[in-house]
Amino acid sequence: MARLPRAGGLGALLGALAIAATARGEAAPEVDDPAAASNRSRPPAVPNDPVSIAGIEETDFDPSDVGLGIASGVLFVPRNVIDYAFRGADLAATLVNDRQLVPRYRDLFSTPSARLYVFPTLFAETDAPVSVGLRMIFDSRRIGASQRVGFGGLNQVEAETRLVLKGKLAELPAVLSLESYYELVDNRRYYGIGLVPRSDLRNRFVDGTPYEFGYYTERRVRHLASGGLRLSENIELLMSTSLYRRQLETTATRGAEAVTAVFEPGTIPGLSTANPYLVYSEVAARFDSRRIRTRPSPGWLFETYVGGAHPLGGADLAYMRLGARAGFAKPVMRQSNLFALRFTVDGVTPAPGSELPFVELEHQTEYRGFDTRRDYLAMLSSADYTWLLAPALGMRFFADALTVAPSLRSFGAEQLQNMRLALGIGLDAFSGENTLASMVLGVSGDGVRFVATFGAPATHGDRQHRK
Amino acid sequence: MTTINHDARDWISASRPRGSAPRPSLRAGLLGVAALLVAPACGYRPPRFVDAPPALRVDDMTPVPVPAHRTLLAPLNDANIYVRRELVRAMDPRRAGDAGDVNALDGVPESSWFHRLPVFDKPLLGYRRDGAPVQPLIESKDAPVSGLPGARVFVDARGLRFELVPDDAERPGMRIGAMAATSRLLFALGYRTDEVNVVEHAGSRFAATRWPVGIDLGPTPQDRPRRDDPNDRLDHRDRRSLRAFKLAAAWLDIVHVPPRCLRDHYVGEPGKGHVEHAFVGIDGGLGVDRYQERLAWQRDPERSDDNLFLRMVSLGLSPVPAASPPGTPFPSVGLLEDHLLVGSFKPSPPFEPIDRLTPGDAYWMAKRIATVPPRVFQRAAFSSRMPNDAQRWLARTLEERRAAVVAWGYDRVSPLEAGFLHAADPTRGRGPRFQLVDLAVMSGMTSSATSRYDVRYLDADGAALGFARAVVPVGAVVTLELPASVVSRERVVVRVTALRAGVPLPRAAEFHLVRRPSGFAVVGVRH
Repeated sequence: MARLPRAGGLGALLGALAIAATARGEAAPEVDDPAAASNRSRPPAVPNDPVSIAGIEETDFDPSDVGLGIASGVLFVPRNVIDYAFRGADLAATLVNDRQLVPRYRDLFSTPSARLYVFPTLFAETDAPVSVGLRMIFDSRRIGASQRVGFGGLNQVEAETRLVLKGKLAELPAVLSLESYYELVDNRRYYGIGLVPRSDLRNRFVDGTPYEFGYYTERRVRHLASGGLRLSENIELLMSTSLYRRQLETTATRGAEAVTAVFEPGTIPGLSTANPYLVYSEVAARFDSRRIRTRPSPGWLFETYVGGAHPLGGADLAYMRLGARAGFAKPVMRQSNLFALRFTVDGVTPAPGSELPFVELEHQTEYRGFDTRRDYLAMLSSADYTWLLAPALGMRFFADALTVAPSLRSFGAEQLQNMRLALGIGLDAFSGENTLASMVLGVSGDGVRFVATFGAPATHGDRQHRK
Repeated sequence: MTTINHDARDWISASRPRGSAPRPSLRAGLLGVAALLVAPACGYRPPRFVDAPPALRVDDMTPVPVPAHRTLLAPLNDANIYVRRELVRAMDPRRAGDAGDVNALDGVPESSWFHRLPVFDKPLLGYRRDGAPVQPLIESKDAPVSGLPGARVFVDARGLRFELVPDDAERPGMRIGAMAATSRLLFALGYRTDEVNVVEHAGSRFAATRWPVGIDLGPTPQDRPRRDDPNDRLDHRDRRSLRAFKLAAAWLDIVHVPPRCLRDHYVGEPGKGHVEHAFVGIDGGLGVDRYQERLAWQRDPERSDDNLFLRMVSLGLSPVPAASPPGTPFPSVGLLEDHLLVGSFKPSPPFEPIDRLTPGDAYWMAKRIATVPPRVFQRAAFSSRMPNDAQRWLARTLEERRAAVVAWGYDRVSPLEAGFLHAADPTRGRGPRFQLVDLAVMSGMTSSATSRYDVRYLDADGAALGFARAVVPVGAVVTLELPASVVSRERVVVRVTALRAGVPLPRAAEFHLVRRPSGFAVVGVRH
């Protein structure tokens, strides 16, 4: 119980507040004595819990809070999924610190200036489960390492580990990367081959099926070694060799939407769990004059590559790839306003007698409509205009045009008439030189596609990772 | 009214056939549904305060092992603050509850977060720990731990460690002076802070920060307790002193509060000490950051308008706006304006506890700011070693900004404080009276002539005791004649809503009285 001040106390209270409002003193040096401070009498302490501090034995109840509580309950699951994804990353970072993982890395690689980052990741896309994950990156002057896991359900799993060695080769900056990757995805869609699958004679839809695509499951394993040599500040030579396997099967749980219920069984190239391991080697040259590569930045980009695949174990499957990419971004009035154009062409040619699994056909993952078309040749043209809304927030308009063809020779008016277009708008949040979050809304003939990514950006920009 | 669960249980029991018992799960479900249905129909039930003295000190400084140093991962923190926090907030429509470190009389007790209430005539008592560094200063090879940009570590003649921040060559005295003054002003509000002194060394001026005191444990988590400190039990977003930092930051124009600025440190011998939490290295207050940003913007040849909508519709192609160099009356002071909009003031990056600021929290901090004696302003300005005329200007500007912040805080609630409880006086035929003081009227921010008070009496369950009454004040004092229906009660809740020119203020002040042989006593206050 607290007795309030009697009349004298009230006078003191009023006086104190009045003095506080009006009194003015002169500037004076510090005279407070630390000893005097420590000699002050201290009141008794209460236990360190909110109930003891507040002195409340029964909390209040406000009926207007009930409706808000119900609304909060409805949002409980999505709210906590997001909350715990981020808290999980924080916990992982704390554990990494507590377990002295950083010093162990440092000891192992003798890199005292190393930095370690742990990021939560969140990926959401129209008509796909939300995927949450964690990425850990260890970076030092000579060594880089990363681990990544993503989870979107029991049949939506991916994991990757990567080790990067940085150094010099003949006085030129060089990098060697070793990595392993595993992925299981059961909601992939197969639309058939060609620009207009329904009228393409290479596809055989089941009579009467109302569906334009069927679901399949892919299990993928890849081990990749890649090396890079920086010949000058903007010119890089990249070589990579991967050993990989892509096992494909129908998603039986989809019923009439399973790929074997939409397409005639036996007509889907490469739909098999017995697909062989392939060794794919590629060499690429790149000129990239952008100052920052993880967010929009002025500069030029040219890239060309050639690669070939051979099976292990004598299977009859081999192919070659050839392609190029060119683009530029130019400032408009301000350095932060960027107009960018990009053109990409990718082609694949099977060895005589080989039938390529449909997943090896070319398509364009960078198309911001629905990437549903695949063939032996795929071309993408993109135009972007980006400007800053706020220091860490950018906005963009974009237009993409995509077409595919069986070959360069067969490229004709049909490819232009049936070209697939996507227009859209995007928001990018930056932190320093990294993109922290991105939201893209693309409108195309297939519908509206919304993609949201939060967390650390993927640094995988080369072709082997995109495929 | 009794409790909601009790009502619901009675209703279910009455409708249940005799001899049958509902299955536990069904019963629980029915109870829940019934509670939801019945709840909106029920009225407000006030909290029940324990009949005990209010907590003035919290026992959160018991000896603990030294916790681990917390490393802040900047990308992770950015993702937390700008992505997680925004998404989770958007999906939680509930109002923030009362802070967890508030005592029965609506104050914040002393703890490892908030130091003892200052002595009125010595408001900076306890600020000085070791004083300014004693020459000669020897530079150490150790890395600074406070995170202060540009800091270097020195050891003084006593062997004490200081982090020295150099002066800004273009604006002599501005940054280092602001550091010294801001630190003292925050301390005067009750925050634990670092001790900062402006010193001369090797012909140059520096701000010398005495840090770490004990062992630096890194930035304090803004959104939750430390797992490795048993004394740290309350969600940091529910600490009133942190929630109400908005007002302190607005007053002192601290526009940037990077996570490094709130730090944990272990005080005492390892194993025998405890963790304290302090604001450290705030170097952009008193308009310094605002000046630097304005200058950078003015010097940017590609600057664009601040208006987000204009930027969006112009596609970033709006003309470069005209800009002149930021003007200040003295080169040693920042761009500190005498007027401010407190409601829209938001530090950057977002300081998470501020998201849960309640009107009661704002009012509490407004009171704290109002009671800082003006001579503290002068002493803070003196510590900055600015020229005398700049010191006087700074003290005057702080006074004007204080008026704006306090007025904003007082407008969030009915700014009434419990004054005096008069026992009944049968000789004069008077019943017991309860006197309140309206701080807004007392400080001259509003007039008693335009103020009225709506007074309601409730019993412990929230049921009304008689009709509401309108009371006219005498000056700043509001005298309530306790009616007979109230006097016989063991517990009474007095809810008073102030009206200014007939318009009620957003929240009532609530006083919880308990009857004693000699009259009533106040056991709880909420704003």
